[in-house]
Amino acid sequence: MNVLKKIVDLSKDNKKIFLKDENLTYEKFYKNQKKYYKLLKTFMNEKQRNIIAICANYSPDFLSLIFAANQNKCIITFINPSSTLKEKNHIISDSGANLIIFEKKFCLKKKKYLNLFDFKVWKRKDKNNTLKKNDSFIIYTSGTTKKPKGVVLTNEAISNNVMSISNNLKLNEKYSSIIFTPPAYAMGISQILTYMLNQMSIILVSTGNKFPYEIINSIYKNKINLINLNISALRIFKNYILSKRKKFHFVKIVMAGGMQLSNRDIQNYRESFPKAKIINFYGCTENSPRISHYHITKKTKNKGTIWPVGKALNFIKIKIVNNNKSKFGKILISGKSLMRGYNKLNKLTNRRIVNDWFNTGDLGFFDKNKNLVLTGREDDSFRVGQEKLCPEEIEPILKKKFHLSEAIIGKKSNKILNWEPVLVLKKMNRKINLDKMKDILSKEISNYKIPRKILYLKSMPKTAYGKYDRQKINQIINIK
Amino acid sequence: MKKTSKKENILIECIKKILGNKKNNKKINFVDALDSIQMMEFIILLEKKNKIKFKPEEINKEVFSSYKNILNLIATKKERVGK
Repeated sequence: MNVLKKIVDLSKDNKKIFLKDENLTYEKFYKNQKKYYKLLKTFMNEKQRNIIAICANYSPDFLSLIFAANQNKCIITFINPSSTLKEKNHIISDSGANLIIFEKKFCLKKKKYLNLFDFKVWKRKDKNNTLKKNDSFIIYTSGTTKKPKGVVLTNEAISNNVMSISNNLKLNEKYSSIIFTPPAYAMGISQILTYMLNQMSIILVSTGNKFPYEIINSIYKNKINLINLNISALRIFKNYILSKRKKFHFVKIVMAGGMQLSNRDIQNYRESFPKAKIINFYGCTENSPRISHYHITKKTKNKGTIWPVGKALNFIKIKIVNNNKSKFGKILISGKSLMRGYNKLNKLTNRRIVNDWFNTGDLGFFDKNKNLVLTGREDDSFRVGQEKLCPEEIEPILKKKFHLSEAIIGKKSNKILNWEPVLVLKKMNRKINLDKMKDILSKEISNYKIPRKILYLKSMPKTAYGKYDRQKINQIINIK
Repeated sequence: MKKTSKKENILIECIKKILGNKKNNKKINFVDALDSIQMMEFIILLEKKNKIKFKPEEINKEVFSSYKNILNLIATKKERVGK
């Protein structure tokens, strides 16, 4: 099944309110996407599979555009408006996009544009793509490949995942939600499709979570009963929730995934949303993106320090692999929500997917109730808020830009974001000016990847094999 | 006049810390220019450097859409602290 097609079919003649703050019905959405479908067709190259890159914030037209592109059998990729020019250009060339669609204010300079209602379209020639018939989305994610890598998802994979989430949460049209996850993320598109499939009412926040008070007000005013709020966002929102001096009794479900949750974190969720069921979920872009759910009610107790992420959703299998008899090991997943592969990165795809099992790079174990518990990462990536950061992506840029022979990105704990990146260098005659470094890097990489501090060490800790001992380096960072 | 210029200098310093050197600070729309982490850091920095505390409702799209609006808000808050 193609959920995008099903959503379009369900929307026809449906007078239910779709976008709450816009007072827009599903029927109007249906008509709007039809309008986009027709005009978009005139821009397309009939001789090839069209790839559309969209650089825009959430809006009713943004949603219409996604559905119109899918109905036109285009492959869709997203460009985060806040990414750097280099990152935008990388996504455009790597995806092989031939139609780049911008919200006016995000247009790149010195390009010729055509009008697509309120959007601007840059047509470019690119036949250099290796995409297949069923591919429908390419979502870019930070990786060890030195540049963001494109995860190719099929209609089938994303549809299976959306249906699994809907079934697991028993969603229906009585639920309403607010979306502030950036649209360029798999999590953003997954939320849109899941809620629309269930004909729920939605509020789209075009500014992400930059203005928490406005989001909290909107949740309160519209009595939103399903919220996707990771722990980092909850920490930011906490002051704003407290300033309302009221609890959110009407919230029925809080989706709290993305990071390990401690007992204190769960207590914080329970305090703010006393009647809500908390869903601790686990996912990755490569699995369209949800893998598992753990339902936490008022009565649910946890004997450990970290809460489990639960059991696999429908169509998904999870296994733990290790070389010894320990219950701890690498987390591998398989099933019908899995990506087709990484765009133009066959070697990496073959390394990560072996016999249909994908190595997530996460480590964990199954508890006695067969719930999955996450313990860490196999590689050195870490989370800065909701963003994933891979040191291997940043270190070569630092070495090149500042003529360094050694540069290591470590992580310092942060009360809100969980971790923040720190640049670790061996003591040398010159010192790098932090502000100047930020200035130079801001043209190369997204803000969250830029080191917040520089630490100089007499010598770089190394393992017995001569590799950098990142664990020890991180320990030093957090002591200093 | 002198007070305004000091506030402006602090604002420019905060912009520089978060966004690096920008050609025309007065034309920046901070709603689009900053991501959510930068916005949080920018607000914390403004509060620290100006020795003020924003109310949750003061951190909104209208204020952060322009340099002038941020400066006006800081000036109003400083006046209140002075009184």
